[in-house]
Amino acid sequence: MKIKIQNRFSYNFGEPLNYVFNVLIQINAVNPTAVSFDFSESKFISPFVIVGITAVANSLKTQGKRVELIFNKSIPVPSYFNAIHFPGGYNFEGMTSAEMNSKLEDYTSKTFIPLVLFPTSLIDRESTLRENIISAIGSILKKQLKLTGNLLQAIYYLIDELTNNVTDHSESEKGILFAQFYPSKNYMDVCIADFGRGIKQTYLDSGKANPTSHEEAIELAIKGRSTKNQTVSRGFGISTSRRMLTEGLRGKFFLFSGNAMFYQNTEKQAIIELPEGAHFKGCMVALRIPTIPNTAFDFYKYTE
Amino acid sequence: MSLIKKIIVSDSAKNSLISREIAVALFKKIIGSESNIEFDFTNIEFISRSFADQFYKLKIEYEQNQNSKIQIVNANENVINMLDIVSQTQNSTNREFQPVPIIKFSNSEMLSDYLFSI
Repeated sequence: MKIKIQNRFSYNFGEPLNYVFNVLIQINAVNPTAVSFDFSESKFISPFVIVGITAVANSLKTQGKRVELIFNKSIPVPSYFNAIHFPGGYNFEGMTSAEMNSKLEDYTSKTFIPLVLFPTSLIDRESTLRENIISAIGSILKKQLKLTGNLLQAIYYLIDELTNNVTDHSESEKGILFAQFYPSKNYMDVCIADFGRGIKQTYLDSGKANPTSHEEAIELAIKGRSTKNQTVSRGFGISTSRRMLTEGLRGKFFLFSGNAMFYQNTEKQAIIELPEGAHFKGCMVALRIPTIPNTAFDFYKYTE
Repeated sequence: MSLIKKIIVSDSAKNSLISREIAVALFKKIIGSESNIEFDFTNIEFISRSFADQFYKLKIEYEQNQNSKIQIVNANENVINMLDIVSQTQNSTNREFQPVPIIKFSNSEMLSDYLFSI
């Protein structure tokens, strides 16, 4: 089965997310043994599509399906793909913190970070590698965005909390992280995904809640209901992140797992039951973070 | 118990502490120590809520079990504030939650329209 990737995406927040749903509907309808993602006519790819396709492709591979990505080397986009290390992600294996910082220095003058597929295992070596990667990415974002104070703290917080969620809950082999900064538009898009068991199954496996649908599971997650034993001081990640981003920074927050999604901005929030065909077993979070310093924003008001 | 064991929490190349596992690893370094402990946060610009929560729990547990003191030194304002926040939420069970509507669209075009509007 071949999926031809749309050649251009607008800056609209929801368009690439709608596109990822449509890709899933096409794949789930056929249940193919092999899928080719054809990027040969792609000119401008949204970070949400980059992470979405990476998550879907990895999910298919874990199901034993063959996945191929097709590029056309005669147009400029492949150099962008090379620069962001799509689809395999930047290889940080074996690097120390200092080496990562040095290697990533090349990205200081760019408007994106490399695609990162971070390890999720809790064994010491992988924990340290993940910790060093996320720390190095934070350092690069600080230099790219030239931010200080509350806004920088918020960006660190959002990335740390949402990548920790992948590690703590997903049982995914890897987590996926990518960010693209749009200086002329004064925002950055961040996308974090996994191809693990999904939010509903996480609650069911924990025995701490018994959601009967993906919408119900998402509602528990955005409320801050923990799946861990130490319930009272855990489970803050998604609930505080969405409030900090939308109420504090006036950004946009999107969460997708199973066949349900949640969206929140300053004006509205809703949990949406998606068509069954759009089902995705893992989890995906998309953030649009305004990068104009906002003096009214108090980081600590949203960290509980 | 007058001796002080000093632990540098991170080398100069790394300025943030993120995961619970790193907090656990720090406390593994002081297992069996009979002295008071100083954790030195020099160079650390940011600690995640997860790290802070785990660090706080282990600190309280260690101090109770070992009858010793753990001091935090050279921590910047961000680190101090985050540790303070987690100390206040250890027993908090009531969180405000505004009900969120659950919506279902009868066809994919309506879903697309919604997504293009956000």
